[in-house]
Amino acid sequence: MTPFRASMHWLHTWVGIALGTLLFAIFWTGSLSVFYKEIDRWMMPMTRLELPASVSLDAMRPAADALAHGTNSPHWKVYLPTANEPVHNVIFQSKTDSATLFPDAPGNIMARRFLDPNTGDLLEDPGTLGGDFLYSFHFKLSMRRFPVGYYPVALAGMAMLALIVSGILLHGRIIANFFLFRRQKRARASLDLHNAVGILGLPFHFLITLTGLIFFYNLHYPLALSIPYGEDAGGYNREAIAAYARPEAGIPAEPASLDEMAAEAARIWGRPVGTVRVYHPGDKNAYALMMPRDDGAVSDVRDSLFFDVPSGKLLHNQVAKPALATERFIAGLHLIHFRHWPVRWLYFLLGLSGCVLIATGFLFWLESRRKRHAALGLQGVRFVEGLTVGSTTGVIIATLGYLVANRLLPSTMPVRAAAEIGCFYFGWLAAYAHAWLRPGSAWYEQARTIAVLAVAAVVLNAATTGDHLLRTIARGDWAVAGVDMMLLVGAGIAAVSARALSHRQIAKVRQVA
Amino acid sequence: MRDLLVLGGILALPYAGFCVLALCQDCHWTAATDRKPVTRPHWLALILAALLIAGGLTLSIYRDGIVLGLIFWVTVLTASALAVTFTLSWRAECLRSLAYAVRWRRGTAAQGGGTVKPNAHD
Repeated sequence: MTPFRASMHWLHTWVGIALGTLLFAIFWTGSLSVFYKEIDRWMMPMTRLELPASVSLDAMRPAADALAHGTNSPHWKVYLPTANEPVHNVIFQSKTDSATLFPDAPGNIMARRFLDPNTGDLLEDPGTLGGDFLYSFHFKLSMRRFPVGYYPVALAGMAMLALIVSGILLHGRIIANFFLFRRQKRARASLDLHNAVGILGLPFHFLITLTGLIFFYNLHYPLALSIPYGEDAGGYNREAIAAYARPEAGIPAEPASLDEMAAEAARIWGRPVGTVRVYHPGDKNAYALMMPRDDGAVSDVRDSLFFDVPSGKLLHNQVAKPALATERFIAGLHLIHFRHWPVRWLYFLLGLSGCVLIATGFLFWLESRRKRHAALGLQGVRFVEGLTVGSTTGVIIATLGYLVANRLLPSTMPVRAAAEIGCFYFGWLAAYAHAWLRPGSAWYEQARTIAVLAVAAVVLNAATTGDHLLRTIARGDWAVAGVDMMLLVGAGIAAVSARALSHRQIAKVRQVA
Repeated sequence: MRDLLVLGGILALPYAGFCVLALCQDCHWTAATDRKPVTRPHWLALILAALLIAGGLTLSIYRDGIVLGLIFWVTVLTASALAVTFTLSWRAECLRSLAYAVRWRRGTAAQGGGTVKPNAHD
């Protein structure tokens, strides 16, 4: 092996082992995040409503104003109902910390509530973070107090790029082994699958990692903004996103019709309004920022219109600058907010292929060292095997524990959302402990646990909400039906895997005996 | 219905193209036929594979436009290449007819040599 190749081998092996756990969790939660709004519907039964033909901003405004006034929030924002989120999703600032709140930064705690799209009435507090917990885990490890979670994720993203490049350089026979997976040869199967998924999934894995890193370029590479804007930290955002602002007057004023402003915005863009943010609600200086919804485009371009709320007059028309449009296109490639169900499913499946890539990397490391470590009496394989089990099946158990807890904990429980998150972490830690304590049987026992938890989640959903699979399919509620069906498919795969793994373990024990 | 047909084409054409490409390789041809190849792949097979993969691109751009169509096609390429890998690993015999077509020669009665051990792919 040449020194260069040896260095690539060292890099690929040890960076993979060191950051594989984090990478698997990021790919797993990222794959689930493709359907995080569907997971929201599953975890928040009060939001399983039919999407009305038209919605009224004027009907929902009093409830949104009341939410903002109740917490002294200087503004509120609403995401208008869509097919996979058929409710008004209202975000407002709150100084009160509760389990249903999620902070963007210390001192800037944002709360979320849902409104009925037909009446504009406040819906029952869901008491859960739902899919948002998994989504925020994907990019900031769901760290709620301090925004430090972005940095380990960024490190893992950079490591993933290094692993992809070093893996390609190490792979000597890319063309010859292009479609090769010798599953019957146990010694080769994990490496073959690792190579096949790595090479064939390369365009997707590279794209998704790079776009994820570029998405947070201002955190990973602050010079990009500090060079052109110097000390003016908010300069870029002011120029590119929000070009209009004015202070509160302190004089109450009646608002004009938000529906008429939205109609005017839709006329100007030729697209419907997707997001509305009202600053200083109820004040003489209140103004509304409206952004379009464009489900058919990759780029989530932030063109925006500013209206004077008391008069309804247009104040400012902000068209996205080229730099912002480029940034939003790259972000759009990662976020896939566009409506294209085959691409969303492909992103989900290819995200899971990233999990397979990481898991098979771990397995190859274990298989290639197991005999040597046993002969030398080293504990490395035992430690890494526990790490592998906890990082792969463990995080799946944690996720299923989170869903099961959502259906078991009473909705009136004051810290329900925190308790659900506690169940996630408890499940994950328990999986690690189990993997290290029972090294011989951890794989199949955890696979069995996954099968049981997945079926339990489906049964509990039917028992606690009455929305069993047949009913949701008949009703055309594909968000809830889809989550239930994926849970059942996952349970089936886990059960078959558990059976195969336990047979293999029994055969191994007999062979030794 | 028409959209479903186009969608089916977008998914099936790259899969078929990658099947042809895979069968141009000796080890995968052997896995599909249980025989050793005695002829080289027909040059038309490579052109057919390229046309099938390009056909998927054409249909996806026709359905979704240039930007979404390209994204769709790239993700389908990855998924279909992986699907071909798993087909060759689990059900390689399903590709037997296609395998013979890939190495077809005028006047050649059999494209394969002697039988090899079962499951040659392994």
